[in-house]
Amino acid sequence: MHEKKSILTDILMLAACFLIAYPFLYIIMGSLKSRAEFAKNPFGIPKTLMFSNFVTAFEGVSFLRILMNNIIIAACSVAIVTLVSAMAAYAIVYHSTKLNRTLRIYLMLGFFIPFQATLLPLYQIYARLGLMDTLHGLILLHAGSVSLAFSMFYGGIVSLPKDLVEAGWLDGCGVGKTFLKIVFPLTKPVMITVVIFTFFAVWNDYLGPSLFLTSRDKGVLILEVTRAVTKNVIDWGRAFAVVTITLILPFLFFLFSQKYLVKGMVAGGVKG
Amino acid sequence: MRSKRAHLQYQLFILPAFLLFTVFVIAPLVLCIFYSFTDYSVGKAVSFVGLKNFGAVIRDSMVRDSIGFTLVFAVVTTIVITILALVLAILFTKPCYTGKLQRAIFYFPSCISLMVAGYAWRNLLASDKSGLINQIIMRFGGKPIQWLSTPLGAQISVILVAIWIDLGWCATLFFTYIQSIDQDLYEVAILEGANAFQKAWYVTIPMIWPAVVVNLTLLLSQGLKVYEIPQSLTQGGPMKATYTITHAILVRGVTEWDFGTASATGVVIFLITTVLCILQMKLAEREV
Amino acid sequence: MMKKIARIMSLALVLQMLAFTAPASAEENKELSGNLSILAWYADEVAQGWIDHFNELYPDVKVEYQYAQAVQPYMEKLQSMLLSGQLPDIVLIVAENRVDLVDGDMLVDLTETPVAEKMSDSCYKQVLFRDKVYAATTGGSIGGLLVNMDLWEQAGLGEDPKTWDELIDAMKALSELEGITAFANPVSDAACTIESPLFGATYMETEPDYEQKIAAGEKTYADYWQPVFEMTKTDIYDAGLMPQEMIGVPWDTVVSNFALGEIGMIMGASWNFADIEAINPDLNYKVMGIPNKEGTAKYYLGDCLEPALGILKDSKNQENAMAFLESLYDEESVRSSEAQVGLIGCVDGYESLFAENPVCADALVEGMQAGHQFMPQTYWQKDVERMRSTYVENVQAMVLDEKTPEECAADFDAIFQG
Repeated sequence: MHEKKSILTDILMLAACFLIAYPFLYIIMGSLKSRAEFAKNPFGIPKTLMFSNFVTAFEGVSFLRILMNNIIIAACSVAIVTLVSAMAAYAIVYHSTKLNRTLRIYLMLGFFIPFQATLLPLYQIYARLGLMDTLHGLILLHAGSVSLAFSMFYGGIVSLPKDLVEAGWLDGCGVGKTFLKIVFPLTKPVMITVVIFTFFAVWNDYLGPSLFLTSRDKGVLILEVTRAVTKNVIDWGRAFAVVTITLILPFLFFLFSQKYLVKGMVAGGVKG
Repeated sequence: MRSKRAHLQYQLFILPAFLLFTVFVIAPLVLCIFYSFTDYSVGKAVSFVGLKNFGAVIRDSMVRDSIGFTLVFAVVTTIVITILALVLAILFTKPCYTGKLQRAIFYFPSCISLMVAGYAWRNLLASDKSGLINQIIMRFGGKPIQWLSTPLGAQISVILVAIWIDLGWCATLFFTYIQSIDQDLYEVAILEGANAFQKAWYVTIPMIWPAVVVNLTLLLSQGLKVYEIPQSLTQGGPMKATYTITHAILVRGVTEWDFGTASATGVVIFLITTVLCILQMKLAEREV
Repeated sequence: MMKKIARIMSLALVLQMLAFTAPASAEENKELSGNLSILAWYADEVAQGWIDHFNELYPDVKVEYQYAQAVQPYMEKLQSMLLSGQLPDIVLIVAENRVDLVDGDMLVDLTETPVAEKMSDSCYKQVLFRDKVYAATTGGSIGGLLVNMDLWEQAGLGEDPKTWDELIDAMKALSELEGITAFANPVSDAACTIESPLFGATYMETEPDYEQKIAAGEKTYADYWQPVFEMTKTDIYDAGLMPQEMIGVPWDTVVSNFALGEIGMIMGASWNFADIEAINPDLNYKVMGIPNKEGTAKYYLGDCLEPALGILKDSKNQENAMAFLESLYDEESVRSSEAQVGLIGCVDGYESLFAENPVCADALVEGMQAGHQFMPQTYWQKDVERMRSTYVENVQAMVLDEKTPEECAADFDAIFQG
């Protein structure tokens, strides 16, 4: 099909895009408005730019600290989930015993188990293990959600040519080396998709941090947003300033990921 | 064939995932099932009460209604988003200059926190003339719609926000698959006199069906977990119309300190989720 | 008028700064050190004001302030901390958690401590629970109907309404003004709906022991609440004086619209003053009370129950916690929260900034100091949270005409007996 590029399509689609993107513009413009201006002109372009919202947004706590918490939690969770899911998928594909076939189904049960069913007992488990109000506690919580990542890696690895592994064995590589040097690198498209999905899920997660992180300086950015939305008086300028900052890193990540995202979805999504 | 050593090593590779999953997902679920048969509460000792909690859950209108809304939400959003995403994906295939930018913009809503989405849309959907959507409607001569002030309106609003969030990435997923369809199939269809609609129905959709199935599963399981959108949009109101299962568990279990009932509710959702997912997988299999 | 308030407030802040340089009083000779953790729902700046003053007295105590949104998220957080053994030292003692905390014997009894002695009479009276003091309060808020006096004049209205019917007539007059909404009732916060002060005005002068009567089985909640609900439903909601769409407008937008002069009256209180000042300093408005049918009593919103902080018995830093609570009564702390969020100080010997404020001067005398404030949660004895959320839901239902006053009132009894 060699249809001509149609500008009409561009115009119509970009109009639709503006509608989709407006809420973001609303947030960013809102972060620059004073309380008075927000009341009079909530939806339009700010008449004066008030950058002080960004300064007051993190009064009383170190902004860098909160940002670092977010980054640490996201980075560690992503790393752990990716690695352990890939390892498990690898082992189950290339060592297909009855036990492992059962384990495959076991690890996919996560799809059926809603977080709400587990969250209350998790309080107790966390208290028992001393994981309450710790960053590593929250990281482990996210790390436990292996089901999606595992199924994607399984799909990706199962479609690799079988002789690759045989070649590895002939070369004298053991189980570990074959994984590290041969299989894992070949799952790159799937790996990147898993990284992206997990990153966004963890970065934006609200329930986990709100229930399991109690001190303010262990908090994450989304909790700072809800702090600004107090009961009687809401300072939207401050809240949106925090939100704007929260959006920057994912936005950068998102731009970077666009290229790899689609390839990964194809590789891992279908066969799982 | 494989040495004993290799066997052990393979099993070790599975161990971390197994441990993490068991401790943080399966163990709490088992505990939850256990507690659902007790009347555990803060400060009280644990004692068995059999099926009493489940009876209370079934009789509890707040829990029943929230389960109802959650199911409706999950099913409606799954179906609507899938259909709209397919349409959008096909639109993406029309050649134009800013395709990449368009897809990027549509995709971005899924990258923000759900609470933030709710806060942003709260003011856009305000029921009177303060809301932007209503202002636009009024500009065109219509009457303001009561988005957030009626139970039905609020439920629809929650669904709309969910569509805004998920439409983009689903469409991108489908678009990618469409790109890999063999063009010859379209040539054949055109030769047979197929119009645009028939091309889509007989060629595009069957060829990307596997992707659609995966998508349905993801949307459904995600839809059942919905909490942040109604919480930030309407605080579960008006009149608890947008209370979801998570709300019910948090309210009964945490705010009212009634662990037993909350656990029973959790078990009920687990069963419903399992049944729904299995049903959906069976349905999807048959279509192909 | 507003400029006068601004000048008073800036003077107060200057005084506060001078106070920091004044010589310390004799009380902090004791050296306290260690930690202290507080869990509350006050904005960070407000808590910081108290903490700063406390650290002036006891610089070696490290204070951690933990925040959770009111009301449900706060309860969730508190519960999760209790369940996991990670206790804060100081928590909020409010109607929603008071019963459970006292039943579970989790609070330190403050009745015989200096904290109780420092309280003013109106605070003491309101904070007493089962004849004991469990929380430290330094004041509270005053509110009622916030009325736009310019629109009031425009509608040809004169004096404050003395009876309920006069109030309804005033609302009707306001609704006739072009493009103006007469009245907005916050339907997501049980403390602020118009039904609460109306109930107070109707019953609290003649039957202040109504809860005991219900507990003894002589009367039911429906006996008391049905007439109140009937009044608001028939006179306000069915008459269209509060448009149904208002439920779907976020309350902060409603306050903004009121400040911009688009609404005649809203239910509000001193916590809104700073906000309204920020949006429209020239707004001419004042706080009016809600009269009962006969015109024999007028009640206001708010209470003398803030900040209502108490100490958990299992806390390991009780000495620090006690010192903190005592420090709340010092002028610096009271003034700091008063200046920031309008948390009006009601401590003996303390001159409130708001005594000169024309917006609420009358309300302060007639409402707060006279004890004419009512919040149903303060009086409910059990299942407070469920009662509260049902109350909120039912007000919404009545506005939407989905339930009758009879059904709504009967729900209270169903919970009480259930």
